[in-house]
Amino acid sequence: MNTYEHETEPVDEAATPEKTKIVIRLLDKIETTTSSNSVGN
Amino acid sequence: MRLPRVKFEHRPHRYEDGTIRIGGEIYGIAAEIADPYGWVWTALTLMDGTRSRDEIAQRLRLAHPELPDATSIVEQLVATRYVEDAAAVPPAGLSERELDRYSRNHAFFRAVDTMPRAHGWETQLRLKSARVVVLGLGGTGCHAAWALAAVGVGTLHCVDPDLVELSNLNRQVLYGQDDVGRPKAEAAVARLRAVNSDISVTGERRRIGSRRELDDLIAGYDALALCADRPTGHGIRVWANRACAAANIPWAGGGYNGPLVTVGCFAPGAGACYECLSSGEEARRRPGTPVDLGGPGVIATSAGVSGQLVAHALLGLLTGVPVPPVGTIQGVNLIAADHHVWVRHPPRPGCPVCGTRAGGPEHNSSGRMTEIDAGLNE
Ligand SMILES: [Zn+2]
Repeated sequence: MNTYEHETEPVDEAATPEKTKIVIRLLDKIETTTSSNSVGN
Repeated sequence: MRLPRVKFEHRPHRYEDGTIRIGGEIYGIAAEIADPYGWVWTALTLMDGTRSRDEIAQRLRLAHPELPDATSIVEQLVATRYVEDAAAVPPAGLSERELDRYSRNHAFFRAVDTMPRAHGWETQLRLKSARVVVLGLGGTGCHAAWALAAVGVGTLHCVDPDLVELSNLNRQVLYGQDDVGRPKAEAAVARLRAVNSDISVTGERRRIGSRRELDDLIAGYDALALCADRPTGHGIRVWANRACAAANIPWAGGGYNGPLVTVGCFAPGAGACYECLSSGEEARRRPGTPVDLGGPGVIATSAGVSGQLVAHALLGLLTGVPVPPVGTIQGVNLIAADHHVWVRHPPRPGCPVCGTRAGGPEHNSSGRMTEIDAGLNE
């Protein structure tokens, strides 16, 4: 079993027209929740 | 992906300025997408599992005639972690009972996965095909083995030389009073089989006394959960480091020193090995500082956190979900809530275990690990 078979092909940014390039920004720690109370058990 | 659908738990909402928030509110998943023209919002709204990618692009074009390339928007979104295929059916490799048993795993892996997947059961299938040795069935090992069995690691082999003692029962979750005097390996196997009969659990009463014996023990396995602490010093952990490097398999090792609980996570070819990390730590300490890795004082919570961290690290090492913190030691101090352990050091140049990568086995390291390695070079 190959342990590190987790990668997908990187998006070829050059092939994506500049005007329709979606920028997805992962939120910082301070922008996300710090409490998990009462979400599940 | 036939019928793209935004994952339920990642469903987006929009701020007043049009910026899209997607992926809930947990750090590591949640994201924002700038969307000044509303194109992305429309595309996400159309991704409700009832339309093909072409149909979505077509409708997107109708809604936004000025959009230069609707297909590109759709393709970029289906390549993210936030979209699943509504047409996907569970794979044949899992029984009805397993689909039910692991339904909460499925939802968890789906939520934290960083990659788009065909049907979302890939992580569970990887676990099912995984073969793991749990070495040491004390406080850490009991909890680690229980978690690995419960989560569905397909093959578990449990190893410990000792007999169950009454004083073990304050923390060693696999044993009951009736097991006192019984070999731990035997009692653990019986308990784990009772927890999950959809996996294969074996065990042996055995003490590992040399690196060579550890080589033999892990041969044919995919990973090692190191939950034994003897021999100490340059003993079992160094053997594990070298044996796993030679076998080209990842490993995680955990333990506690009173209330301080830590786990190390290592994989050949990615990040620092255990010896690189521990020599970095030795160099950081004041010379002569005594190092004590564990003592007789321990309670159920320390042992539980320790074993669960080991199991959690192994899940990442085996499946990539979540992405494992390879080449690090992490942990918590149970008497100091503001103390979160996070140790990383770069691989030592010329390390005899991990420093010969050019000719060694290749692994693709994850994006996040690359980031960490880059950070170390700054
Ligand atoms: Zn090394």
